[in-house]
Amino acid sequence: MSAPATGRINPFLIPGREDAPMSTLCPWRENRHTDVDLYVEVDNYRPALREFQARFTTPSLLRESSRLALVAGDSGCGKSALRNHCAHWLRERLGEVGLRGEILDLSRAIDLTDRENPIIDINKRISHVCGELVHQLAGLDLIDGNAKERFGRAETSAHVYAELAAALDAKEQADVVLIVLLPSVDLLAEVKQYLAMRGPRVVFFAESATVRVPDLDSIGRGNDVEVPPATMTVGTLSAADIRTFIDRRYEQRAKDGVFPRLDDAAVEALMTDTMSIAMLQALLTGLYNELRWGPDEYSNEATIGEKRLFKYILQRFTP
Amino acid sequence: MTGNSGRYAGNPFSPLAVAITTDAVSEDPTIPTAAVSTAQDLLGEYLAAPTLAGAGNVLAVSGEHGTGKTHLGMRLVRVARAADPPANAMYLDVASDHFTGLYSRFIKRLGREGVRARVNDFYADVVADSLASGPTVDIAALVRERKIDPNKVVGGYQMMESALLRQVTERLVEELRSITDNQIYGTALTLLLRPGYDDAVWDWLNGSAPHAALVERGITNRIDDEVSALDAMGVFALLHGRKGRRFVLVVDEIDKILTGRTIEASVSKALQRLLQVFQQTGAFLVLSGLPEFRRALDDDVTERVGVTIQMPRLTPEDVAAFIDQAQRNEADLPTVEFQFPAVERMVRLVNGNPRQIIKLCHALYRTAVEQDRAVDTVMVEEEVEGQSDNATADEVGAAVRDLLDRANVPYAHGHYFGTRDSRADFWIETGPDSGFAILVVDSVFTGTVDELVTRLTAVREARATVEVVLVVANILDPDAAAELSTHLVDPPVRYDRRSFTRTLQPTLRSLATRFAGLGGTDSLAAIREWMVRIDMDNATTHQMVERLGREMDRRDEDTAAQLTTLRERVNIVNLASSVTDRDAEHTERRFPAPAAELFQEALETLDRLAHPDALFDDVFGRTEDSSDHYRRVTQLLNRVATPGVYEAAGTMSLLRRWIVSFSTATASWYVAEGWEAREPGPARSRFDALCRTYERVAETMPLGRIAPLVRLVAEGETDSRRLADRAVQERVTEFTDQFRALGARVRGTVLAELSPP
Repeated sequence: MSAPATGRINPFLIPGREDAPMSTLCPWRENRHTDVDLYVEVDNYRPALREFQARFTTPSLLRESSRLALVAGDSGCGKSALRNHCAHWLRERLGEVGLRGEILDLSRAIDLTDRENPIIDINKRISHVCGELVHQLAGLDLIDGNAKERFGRAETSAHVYAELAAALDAKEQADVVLIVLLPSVDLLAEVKQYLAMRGPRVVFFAESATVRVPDLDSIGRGNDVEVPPATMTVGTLSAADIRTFIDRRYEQRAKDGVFPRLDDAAVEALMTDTMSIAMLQALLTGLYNELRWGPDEYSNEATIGEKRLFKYILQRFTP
Repeated sequence: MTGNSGRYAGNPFSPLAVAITTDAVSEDPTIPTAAVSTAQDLLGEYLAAPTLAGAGNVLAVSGEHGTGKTHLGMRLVRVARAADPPANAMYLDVASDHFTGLYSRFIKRLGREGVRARVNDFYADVVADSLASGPTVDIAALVRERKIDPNKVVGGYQMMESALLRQVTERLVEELRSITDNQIYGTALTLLLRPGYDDAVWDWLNGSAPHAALVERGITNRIDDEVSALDAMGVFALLHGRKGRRFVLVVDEIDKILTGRTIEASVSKALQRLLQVFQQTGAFLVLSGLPEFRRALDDDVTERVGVTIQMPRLTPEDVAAFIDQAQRNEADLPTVEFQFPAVERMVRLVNGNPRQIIKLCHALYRTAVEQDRAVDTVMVEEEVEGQSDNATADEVGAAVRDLLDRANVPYAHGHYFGTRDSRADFWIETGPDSGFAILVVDSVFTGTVDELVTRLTAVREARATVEVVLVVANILDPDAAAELSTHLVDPPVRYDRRSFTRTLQPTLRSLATRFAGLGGTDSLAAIREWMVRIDMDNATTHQMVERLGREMDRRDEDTAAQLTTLRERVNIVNLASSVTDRDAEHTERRFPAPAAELFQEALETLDRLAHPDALFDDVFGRTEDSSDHYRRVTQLLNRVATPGVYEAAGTMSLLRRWIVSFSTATASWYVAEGWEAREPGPARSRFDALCRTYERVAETMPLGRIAPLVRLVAEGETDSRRLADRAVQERVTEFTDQFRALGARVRGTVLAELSPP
């Protein structure tokens, strides 16, 4: 295929991440992702973010307590993006009160393809994550070797989390609050176990595609919960969300280059009940990539109709 | 006969006359009786039904040992697999006495990938439904038609996998509601689709305790009782039989599970549910076993059985047709004339039992070729009398003695009542002038019946009240039986290794009942107690088997190292690893693993049964108590010095050598010519000849000579001579069957591997 003519862009690619169109927005890792324009106001995103912010108005309280935030929703609905945004915001907020938020990404700590050592039950998962956490802390020089060794011999993960603040203090990291991004959680029981971890200066971020909202509410009503979790939910896109997302991306990228627009029929064809943000992103980035490198007209005046959309989808998977 | 030079080069009749139960379904000729035709017609109707709604069926096949039930079952499986479209068909023989054992074999045969494929069907439907509107509607159709892998679509489109899996669980739960309200199967089977969890799920499905990850999801109980095992079978029957997919399951020897015990109501209900599932999902179930199994089913279960087929005794016409067909199937072997009177005589002597007829045909064919003459009645009678691998009077006597000893019944062995003619093999005195006499004979023909009648009369007249039980080890000529009937109240008991106790019990009960009207209270109480003890026979047998099993497990660990060495010597796969360049399309010519496993299994059986290493190691192992040690070494040396042990070791070595040579020759043939043998032709003929050569070897090898070594090992496992005797009988029989069937099984397995998928 020949290189696209100058000025042709794919409006659904994130600038700087053109090689990974499906990578999750991550402002705490990628500075350019802090651009608020990247976050389109769809699917309860902004209210959910505000809900989280409302639960952490006094981040200095984290000196004395731990907290848990849970993002619930089916796969591909934007849980990780929201989690990353919340984690970034919290880190910034902690900086404003003289604390230093340290984000530890353990979301990929559990390898389910390892058949030799399957880590699939709650106790093993929590223990493994705790071990990885200690390892990362040692790697970042936030705890010393003695603490690492002591934690390696700890009876339970609860013991480790209870002693973490002291270990940080011993390394003169008294201003550090750990923001721990946990692997995706299947069961409410696991969420409850993290909630029961008593150790200051730790904020757990959990995601789940299977824990349901009514179950989350029951956690808040439990008598043994000091501080109920901050819960946020994301879901599929409404028809309006889909229109908003597409129009917003067109608007944001119009100044960067040329690209055709989906006509109304094509946009309406995308308005299904099962359209998630990930699915929409995958469809549109793929479609525009194909058009961008193809022979069809690729200009601001050109339109993409429903037929072309269907053709792309069908050809992609036809054996 | 035509073209017969008298050289025996192979045999069109199976040497073992037992259907070879491998995945390579038997191709042995089928005797076309009315029962077989009925079964095939019913299966044919099922396979041809335009829709499965209402087409499901449960067929019961009942018949005595050797009447062809297994052969019929395997034939039905073969027909089902060869249908267009092919049905998912499976043959299962019951290897235990509970439904848990049956389920264990069933799930292993389904296999993880087989089960996963069925669950994936649900997943594909869910994915297709999710794509069924909007721009993906065309893709939905392709997924529904299984032209696209749903997993690829889900990943490629970034679909909401968690929602899809949730729907799979919901649909599974809904569809399985007819079997169980318990949602655990829906949960577990969905987890089978998730990497990381599938091992835990598969272990649980195979009867293991649920992994913690499953317990956390509400799966807390094992599938380890009969109700859960039957429900689990129903789950998989439903999964395999849905969506127009034909599923045929043959369960053979079901009597082992259903008879000899009381079936609990819950188990009976679960069985009823299972049969209902087969009917409702449009699957075809065949339950096959000894006639007693039908009587063991309660009415609700029996109602679910569609048709019952009784396997008949063969008629001379049936046998003549079979002989003709078998010889036509092996056209390159000499044709032998079986005179019709000889066929009639054969049928009469073995009472039309198919298995015995086939074994006789095998032996008669060989004799006829070697002696270059037709099979006539004289040859038939000579062969029947000379059948050397049937039970002997000694073996039967040992079985009777074992039964009486376990029942703790005092008896006199080899008791004479004053005259030489009045010998009772076992005399059980029940009073001053009364008792039971058990007589054991090899065979009874018209020529020998007078002598036997004299003996019977002498025994019966020896006391005021004598009841006589006659046990026949082998052949009972019907004409002789008719003459004996005037001298016996109960018909003679025919000995069968597998079912002797079950067969003898009714006769003994009948005698005890008659004695109840005679004799005093003491004798009646003793007889009643005796009956209770005999009823406990099953439990005792289980205990013995379990104990021997534990001993075997221990020895299996010890022999693992030796087996490794063996595997290095019988390196079948490496023999076939060299690739021919003739056909670049077929670079994978490795000797098929299932066939290699047959050779491995034969060698492992040989080592397991007659490997005294553990005994010898034990002699050198412990020396802390010198007097005890000295005694044990002395005992072992005495046993080793028993006549025949060293000869047995030599025989073992030769048997192993034969198996290895056969395996090497088979592998070499496979590499050189296997591909050409996919269709009948010279290559396949050479393979057939190779297998027949092995069968000749197997026939001539004195397999019974390994018995002293088998006994040495068995006696090292138990202090009980009776248990050792039984173990020796069973193990020698097991090995004999396996060794003699190896040729046919290898042939069937290799050809099945070569068949187009």
